[in-house]
Amino acid sequence: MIATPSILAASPAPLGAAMPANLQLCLALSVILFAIGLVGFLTRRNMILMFLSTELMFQAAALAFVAFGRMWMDLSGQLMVIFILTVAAAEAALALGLVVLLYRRRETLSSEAWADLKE
Amino acid sequence: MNPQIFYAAAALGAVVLYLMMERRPAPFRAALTVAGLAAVALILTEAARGAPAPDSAGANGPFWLHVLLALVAVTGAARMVTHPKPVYAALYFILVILAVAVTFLLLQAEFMAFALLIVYAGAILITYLFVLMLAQQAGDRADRDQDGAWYDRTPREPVAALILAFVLLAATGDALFRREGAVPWLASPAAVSQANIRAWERLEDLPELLLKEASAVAESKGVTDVVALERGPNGRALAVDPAGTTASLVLVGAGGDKTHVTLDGTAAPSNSAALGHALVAGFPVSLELAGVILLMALFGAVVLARKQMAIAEDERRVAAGMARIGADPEAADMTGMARGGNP
Repeated sequence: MIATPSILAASPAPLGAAMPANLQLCLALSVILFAIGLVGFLTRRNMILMFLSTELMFQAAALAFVAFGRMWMDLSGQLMVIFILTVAAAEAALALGLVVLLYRRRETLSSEAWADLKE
Repeated sequence: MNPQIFYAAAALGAVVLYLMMERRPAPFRAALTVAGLAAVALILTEAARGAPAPDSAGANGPFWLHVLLALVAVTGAARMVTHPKPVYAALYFILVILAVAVTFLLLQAEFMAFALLIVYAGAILITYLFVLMLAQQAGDRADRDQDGAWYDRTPREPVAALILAFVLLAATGDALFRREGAVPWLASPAAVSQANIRAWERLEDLPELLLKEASAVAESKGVTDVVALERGPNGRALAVDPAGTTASLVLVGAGGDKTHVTLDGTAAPSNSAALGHALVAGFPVSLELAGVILLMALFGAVVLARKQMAIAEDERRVAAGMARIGADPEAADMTGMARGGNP
């Protein structure tokens, strides 16, 4: 007889039994994605890709929230991801509006073009 | 975990990421890919040391699926931060989103998986691609040749950034995974039954859904004239067993006859129904705040992206209700008096 994977089986309890949540894998993936996003934000010179790297860090945070929510079988983790999506969408709209504005001034996407702000 | 292996794998990953930042010949790139995947797999296996063995029912089956998805996600992320062409970087980010969304599915977050695909891959990434292409149509500029712009090919301070990321990864990994079992593999049985009882309470809060599910069970018993639920003295209809696996209730038929019904887990609200209930019942203020944030972002984006018009001083005076410069001084005095100024 072929065993049914438990994720597909109809579970007797509302949330299913405690199955190995593979939480460590998800947390490790979350940490790695966050670290790569950080590297991207620091090393990229293209302003759009810098903001895209922050989106990668948002993804990592969302993954950690959902993994911990699965661990405690609580929906709060997933609710936090809804708010992360909201903030990410707002951030994308504002950041890209800003980038378009800056691009019109200097005709380049390089963040180095605005380095003189610090001097 | 074994700290030496974990740190070595993290350092190997950092070196691979550093080497990926410059364009390399093909055989070297293949070696880099292998080394990078090996580093990630090592980190994952060190993090997951002490995992329960797959049981006969395949309960641990998603383990290898998780590993595969993690490899896909990390590959996509690494290419995203190193690819010299911005549009390809954005497309690799979509690959990361796909892998994370499938991971959400494995974690029983079905609604969030599809919301992630629709909102991120469907809306946010399209906005990014749109702005990228808008900004790249000026193709013949001085800082740009056929391989793209110099600033997309040249990383800024890669060594410092990678050292910082390595320290972050090593410190977080140490905090999370050093003691096996510090992050438990399984929710405790008490937590599971608590969560299941909460799920039944949620069903109790949705009386129409509860009546529908209970009527369906009653119909399979041949009772079709259900009109109401019988509520106990505390106002609750469901009697949940201590482990939270099943709940029983009493249905009242049209003639006043009572039917005893036991619900199992299939009657509980689906993930999206439960999530919607938890959001509106548990976080109403945050939900409103999220709406305000989106509205403010909308205003901000419109204000930022609007074309700035130069308005001459004359026009500005007219718009403020003042007379034009050089116009009849009498008329200017009249307006001044009307606005409460000195005559």
